[in-house]
Amino acid sequence: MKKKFNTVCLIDDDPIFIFGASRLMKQAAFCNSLIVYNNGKEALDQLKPIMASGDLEKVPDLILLDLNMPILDGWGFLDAFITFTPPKPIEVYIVTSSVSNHDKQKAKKYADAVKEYVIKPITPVKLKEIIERE
Amino acid sequence: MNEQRYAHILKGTAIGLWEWNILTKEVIFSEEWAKVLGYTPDEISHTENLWEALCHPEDYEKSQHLLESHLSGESSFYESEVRMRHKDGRYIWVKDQGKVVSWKDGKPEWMTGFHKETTQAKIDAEIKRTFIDQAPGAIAMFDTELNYLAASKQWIIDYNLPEDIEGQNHYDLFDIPERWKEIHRRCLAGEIHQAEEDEFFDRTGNPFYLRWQVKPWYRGDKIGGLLMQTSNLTTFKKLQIERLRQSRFQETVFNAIDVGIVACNEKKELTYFNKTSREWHGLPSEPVPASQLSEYYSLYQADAKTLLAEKDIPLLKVLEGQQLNEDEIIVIKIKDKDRFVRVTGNQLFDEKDRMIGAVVAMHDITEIIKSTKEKNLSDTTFKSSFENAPIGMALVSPEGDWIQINQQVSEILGYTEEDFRSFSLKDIIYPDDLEIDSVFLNQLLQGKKDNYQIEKRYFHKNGGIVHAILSVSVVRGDQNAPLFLIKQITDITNQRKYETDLHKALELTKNQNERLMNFSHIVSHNLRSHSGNLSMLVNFLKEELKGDQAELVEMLGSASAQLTETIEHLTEVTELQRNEDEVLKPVRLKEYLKFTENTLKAIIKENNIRFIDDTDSDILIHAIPAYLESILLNFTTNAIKYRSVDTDSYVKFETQKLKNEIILSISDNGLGIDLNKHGEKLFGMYNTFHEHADSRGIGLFITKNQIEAMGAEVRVASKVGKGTTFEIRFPYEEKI
Repeated sequence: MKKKFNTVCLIDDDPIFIFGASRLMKQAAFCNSLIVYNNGKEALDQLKPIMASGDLEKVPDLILLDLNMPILDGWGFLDAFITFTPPKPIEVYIVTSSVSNHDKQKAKKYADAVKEYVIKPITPVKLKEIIERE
Repeated sequence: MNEQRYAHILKGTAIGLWEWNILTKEVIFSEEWAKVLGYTPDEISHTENLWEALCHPEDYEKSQHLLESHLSGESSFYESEVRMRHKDGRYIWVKDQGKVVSWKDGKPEWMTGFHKETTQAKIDAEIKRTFIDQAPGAIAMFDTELNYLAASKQWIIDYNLPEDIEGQNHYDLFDIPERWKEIHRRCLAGEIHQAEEDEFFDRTGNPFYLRWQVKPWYRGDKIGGLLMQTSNLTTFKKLQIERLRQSRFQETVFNAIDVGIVACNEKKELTYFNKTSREWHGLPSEPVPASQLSEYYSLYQADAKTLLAEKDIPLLKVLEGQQLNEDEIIVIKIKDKDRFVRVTGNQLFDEKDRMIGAVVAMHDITEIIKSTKEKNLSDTTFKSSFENAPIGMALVSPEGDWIQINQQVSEILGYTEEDFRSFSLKDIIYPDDLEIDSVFLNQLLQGKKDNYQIEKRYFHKNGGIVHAILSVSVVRGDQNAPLFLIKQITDITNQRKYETDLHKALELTKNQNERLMNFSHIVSHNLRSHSGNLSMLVNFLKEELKGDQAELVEMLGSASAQLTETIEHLTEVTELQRNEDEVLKPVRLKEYLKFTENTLKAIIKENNIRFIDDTDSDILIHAIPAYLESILLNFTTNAIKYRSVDTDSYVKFETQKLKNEIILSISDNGLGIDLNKHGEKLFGMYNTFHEHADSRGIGLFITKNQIEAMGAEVRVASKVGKGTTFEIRFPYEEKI
């Protein structure tokens, strides 16, 4: 079965969600490899050298980003991320349990980088939608 | 021989002839010559020494001198007037005249002449001279050559001349100007010149004034010389000038002062008006009789209504010798204006202290009376407003001493007026508030500001603290110096207390609200992520389990979904508060109703509901669009949900435009709500009033909050079994 994405990066601190999301992604044949980081800082620290290496295989096609995280939250990650010039286009999906309008509006300010604001729980339907869109 | 012949001739003549041989000393007299002296020719012998013997010793020398001068040829004839002794022993005046008639060897030989008695003429001249000498005025008599013949003592004194003036020439004594010489010449030709008053200047340049007359005097019908008569008017003139100056000074003063002065004579006739009184009255064209004075000059009693009786006219009272009152006030109507005039006056007396009239001075005190009245009025007004003011008022000296305190101050601070006398206001000011007050007070006293207002605390007599607003203004006098301070004290202790309570309540609410926010944060972020995980895991279970277990998992899934929905509702509620900064804008209600109908088209049709829009199409309301949308959807859904299954159901929208609001009524003929039972909780969270599968109770709570967030309000009228009407009142402005 052909995987839609080569590399997908999941940034979330909730192990249950990580478990659920990876399982759903496997079922949906979502990607070849999944990189998981537990907060924004860890993600930045690891992604920077990957992008600098020029190894396009390892550079993620898609980032699923949680907002509420310890150390560096999703907004902090975004602020740094948008200053990068990645070697290939990277789609960012915010995946959060926050239904707050405030957060939804704030996400629109990062419209250049953020493709969609997805509310948890993530479902097979949603994953399929993403695959079909890209 | 010759002697005989001459003797004969001489005897026959009637004049006192004489002949004298100068060489031989022979003398011949006529009979008449002897007779002049009282002798017969026989009684006196023609001796050489006869003449010397009879001549007055004082006159002899003079006559010898005159004789010598003729004999030597200096004078053409000899003339001498001397005293000779008469036979009866007295001296008589005799005028002796003679001339040399023959010469011998170049020397005078015979001289002939005559003498006659001149005593009477001499006495006459003496009398005349004495008359002039003794004349009381300054008078002088001159001959035609302007030699002094005589001058009166006064003349000598007036012109500072030597006693022995006779024979001296006027032109030698004075530097007579040509003008006067001309006058002298004319007078010597017969004219008379005079002046009543003429100004002269003495040697030092001081002016003096003379009345003078110059005229000729006659000897027979010939002009013998001039008479000059002068009277020195200088003293009189000086007095006159002084008097003129004085009267001018008085006149100027009288006219300069703002006091009317009027005088009358003893016949009650007005004789004097100064400038002010002239301005008041003008001058009468003809004398006004005393009985008409009041009417003519509009003189009234102090009441300004009653004309003054003649006996009450101040000028006439003074004339009659009556004393005027201390405050003799009358009213003069001048150009229809009442002038209040205070009158003082005195009688007038002449030099012999005879009363010749009266004078009054009239002081216009209209302005003074007016300002006194105003002052009294403002004093009274101030006093009354001071005493009855609903706030505490105090008059305080710039040094901080009480001048006056009203009752309210006592009531606010608890001290009696007596207490206040024993300390200064400073003593009861809360120590922390002392400095700020003194800073402002200094600015006030230095004239940098006229008033200030601060909040201050005082100690009440009972020890409590009184919060007050203190307003201080300054009243300034001359040169802007502060006279006193007006302090107004408003007790705000209660307001302060309410404010503090309110502040505390606010603080409490804020804290609670914050906790609520934290709670809602936990709900929306954490709880929700847990429920999300739960539903995800349940789904995994569903895929893996079959049979009875599957049924269990199905139920677990349902519980999880309900939890998620509840959490979503709670989140929505907390979201309401966050959206307070949404902006109101005018929107057309009709369009939103259409949108609502379209959105709910499916269930409206499914439930066979009539959607009735009876609103005015031009109605605009001030709303937050998203809220309005949500409100309309919610009420409509409610009406559909709680419809009465028995009846033909409808939901109806109507509007009513009032003066300041627009009322939107949403009514249905559904199940209705028992308001007696549920009224208070109707719009509460998680209250449901129907045993209906879908009722969650969150809807009306959110709706009410959204309505209130737009500044509108909602009311409900309902009857179980009849239906429900919600009324939303939107504030309305004509402009939108």
